[in-house]
Amino acid sequence: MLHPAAQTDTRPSSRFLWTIWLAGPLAWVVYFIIGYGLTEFACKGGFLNYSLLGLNALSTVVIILTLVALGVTLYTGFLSYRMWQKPNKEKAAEFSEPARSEDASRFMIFSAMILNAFFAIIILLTGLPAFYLQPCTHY
Amino acid sequence: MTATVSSTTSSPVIEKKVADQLEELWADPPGFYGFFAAVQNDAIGGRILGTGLLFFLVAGALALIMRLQLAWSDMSLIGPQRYNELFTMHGSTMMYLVIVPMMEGFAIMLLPFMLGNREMPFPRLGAFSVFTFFMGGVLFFLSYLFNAVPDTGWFAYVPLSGPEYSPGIALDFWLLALGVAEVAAIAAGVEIIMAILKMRAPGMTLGRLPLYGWAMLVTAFALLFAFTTLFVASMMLEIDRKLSTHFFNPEMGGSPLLWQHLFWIFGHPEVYIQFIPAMGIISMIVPVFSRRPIAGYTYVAMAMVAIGFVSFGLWAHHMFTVGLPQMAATFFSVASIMIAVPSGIQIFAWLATIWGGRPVFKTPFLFVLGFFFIFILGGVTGVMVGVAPFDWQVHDSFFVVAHFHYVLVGGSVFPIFAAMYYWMPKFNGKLLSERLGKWHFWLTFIGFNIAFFPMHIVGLLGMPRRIYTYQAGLGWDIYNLISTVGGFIMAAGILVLIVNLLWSHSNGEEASPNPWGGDSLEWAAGSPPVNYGFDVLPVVRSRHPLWEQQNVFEGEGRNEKLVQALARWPLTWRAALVTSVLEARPQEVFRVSGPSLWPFFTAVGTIILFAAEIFNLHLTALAGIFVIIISLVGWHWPDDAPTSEEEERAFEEEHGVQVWTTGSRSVGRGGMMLLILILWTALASFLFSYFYIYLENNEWPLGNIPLPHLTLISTSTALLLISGGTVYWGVRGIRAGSNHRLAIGLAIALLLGAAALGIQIFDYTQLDFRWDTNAYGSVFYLLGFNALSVLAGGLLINGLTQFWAWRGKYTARRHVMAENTMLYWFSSIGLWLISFGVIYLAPYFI
Repeated sequence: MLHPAAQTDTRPSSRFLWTIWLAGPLAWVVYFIIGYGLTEFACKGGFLNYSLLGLNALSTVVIILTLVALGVTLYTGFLSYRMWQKPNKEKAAEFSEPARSEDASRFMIFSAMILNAFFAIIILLTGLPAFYLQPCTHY
Repeated sequence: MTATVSSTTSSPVIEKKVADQLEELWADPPGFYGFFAAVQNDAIGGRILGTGLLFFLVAGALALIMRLQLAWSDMSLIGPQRYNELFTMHGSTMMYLVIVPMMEGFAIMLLPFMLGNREMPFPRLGAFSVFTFFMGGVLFFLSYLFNAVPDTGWFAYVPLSGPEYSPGIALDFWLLALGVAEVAAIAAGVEIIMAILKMRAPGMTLGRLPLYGWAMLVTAFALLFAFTTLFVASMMLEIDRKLSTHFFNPEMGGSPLLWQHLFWIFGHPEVYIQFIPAMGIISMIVPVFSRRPIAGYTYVAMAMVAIGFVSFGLWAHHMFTVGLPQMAATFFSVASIMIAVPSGIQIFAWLATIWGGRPVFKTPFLFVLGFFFIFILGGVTGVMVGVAPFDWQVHDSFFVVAHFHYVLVGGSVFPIFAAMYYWMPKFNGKLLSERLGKWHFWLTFIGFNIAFFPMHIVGLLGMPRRIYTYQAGLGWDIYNLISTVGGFIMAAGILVLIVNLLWSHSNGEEASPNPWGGDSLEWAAGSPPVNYGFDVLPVVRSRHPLWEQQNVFEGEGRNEKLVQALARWPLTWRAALVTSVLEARPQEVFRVSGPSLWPFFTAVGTIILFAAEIFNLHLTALAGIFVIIISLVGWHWPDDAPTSEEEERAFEEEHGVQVWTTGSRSVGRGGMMLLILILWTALASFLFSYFYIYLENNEWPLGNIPLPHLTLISTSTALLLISGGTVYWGVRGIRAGSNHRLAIGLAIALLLGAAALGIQIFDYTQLDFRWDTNAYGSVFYLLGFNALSVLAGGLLINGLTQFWAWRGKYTARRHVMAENTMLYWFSSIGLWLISFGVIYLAPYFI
């Protein structure tokens, strides 16, 4: 299970660290592949060419995809932020401050925050035009 | 904050007798045989670098001829055909044979020292890479001998490069010779990934990994995905040309745009594959010459990671003018613009480092400053062409030529020059001349800007790229003349570099182990380093070990005891340390492979295969495949473990790490996983092609071809699934020490796999359409052939492993090959399920 609170050891497992580290980039990759693929499919095949929730159906689906991907990224970003805030007394005693950022766990957590934040922004920006573009109009 | 070297900067001395033994153990054999059998990382890396430099000079000379032709309007120095050949050979050479190999060459030379280990994980793979790269490059230029020079540009768009408009063998040279070089690049990428993930000094956590390591890790992964896609696309175009398939032929249901997609899925990441290593170089040089640690280490490392991912989401910005749905273009446009953010973060981190330090303006640092100026300009124009409406105006104009030269020369070539001045002393023990270095820098910097800045203007004035001449009176003359003058000034700069390299080799000042006061571990080795790298492996306790550790060979008790022990044991086989990915905790001591001719023979087989196909010599090509198979068997032929299991166990008990003399468990598994990743990337490219062609057509299957029958495919798939179970059963047997059970499990799997293969081939013979019937037939055969080939590879591996199992070669401890065979077998089954699932079932549903 992903939730860090479930872990009794103060040191997060490496599987957890890799999960939060990769979640943002992978959420974007999956979002990109599905979103772009679906757009090509729908526009060339004439699918999803009706109104749904006041927008073109394809736009609505892309917005939903955006929200899902954004949710994953923000959630893992939040988890990493919470882990980063959590003082690690054992580590604090072991390392001086600069060395703590080199500790593998702390490094992974902090870098997961950066990656999740960056990919959340990309996902958001990619999804926003769905509100106003005609999705299948060709340039 | 400023930094000074505070630690012991050369390896602690070990007994001379031990040092001599280590030197003899790790040295490549001498003479003619030794040249072809060499595996030492500095020899391999140096050869790749040297070959890349040679191709750089050739490609540069081609560019000068082009500039002469364009210097004045209505010039007739060369005709349009020669001009087409020149820009094709120049661009292709620079993109495939210069920057990427040179970056990989640097990495292979440097990484073992920078990471604090003795060798790369797969030295023979490195040797294979250098031979294939060299021979592929030479084959490419042999096209001049046959007067069949590729002439369709470095991205070889169809239909121009297809059989109709490019008959003859010129394009086959482009596709197949460069295909060999692509294989070389992928092989080196595998080695680089495993070195960085698993072969770091104890204590070098990911948070302490030098930024160059981060850069090369991201690059090598990107390279695996990108070059595999290019290789797949190239082979598809080749069989369109040779076997009359129709992937890119719109008249038969294919699509020329499919080529553009596949090419740019490679092509844009390629730019970053060339640039990210440069980020690593800059990130190493800037702190050393600013005399302080880099600002924002984590941000810089993660910027590289982010760029690595996002670089795969930009490809269609090269296709904005082909007509994409607005929503589809949005995905690429946002990614194209947002990738500037991590690039910007790095620029600011480097500037902050310089701002907070005490810069020393030596030649490497000058090239870094040149990089800033040029690359930032290229980055700004990159954001401009990322905006679709602007791109429509400048597409295929000289503005774009200016943009990508600013990015590539600024972003890759200048850092390569910086790296040469910075790291060459480490490997040849001589400093390059500062005086000549400064001449080199200023001539190159000034020449480059004079050559390429006017191209922005002439592009905005409407001059298209790839025209061999132009009329007077269009306002382009003066800018072209200036560009040509700049090109020759830049060439003079490169000439100074060559003089510097040659002069310094014999007359250069002797380099100390750490001539620049660097912070990373390579500076703790001698200049030049001994063959075994370090007497005692370093133990890392800091991100800047040479600045912050009193002694880089001292550390946490158990680690220090281990590295001390490894300095004296074993002395009969090449031992390298394997550490965990995250925390670099010692895990294994394993035996890296030694000198061998088999990588050379494998490379020869590869070049025979590809070269023969250029000339339609199919039997010769088959001979090439035969040579490859024999060589691979020889390459992986197990030799006896040089120490007994008892001796290994004693070391394990004393130091808490495993000892593997017949191949590392984790490094071997990692290598196999990367091979599987490559195969699945190829599969993804095939699937992309399948569905893209499906979308281009109104009916599926095309041309009244009936829906596929499912009886035989169901049978063969069932057999294959059962074979997976028997392989698993066999491997569980050897884990308990039973060679017999392993052999039986593999034998049953071999029979089942062969039966599945046979049934499937039979099924194909019953089809009433062929690969050349239409594009549906082409993708049907392509996906099937790929799955069958992968399974055939599995049968071969199975047979080899089984051969040794019947002879009782494996033990409960020593059976890495069996574990890897199982991994490959499972992957083949998965790949089979998806491939045949799509070609047999998808037509029923779509």
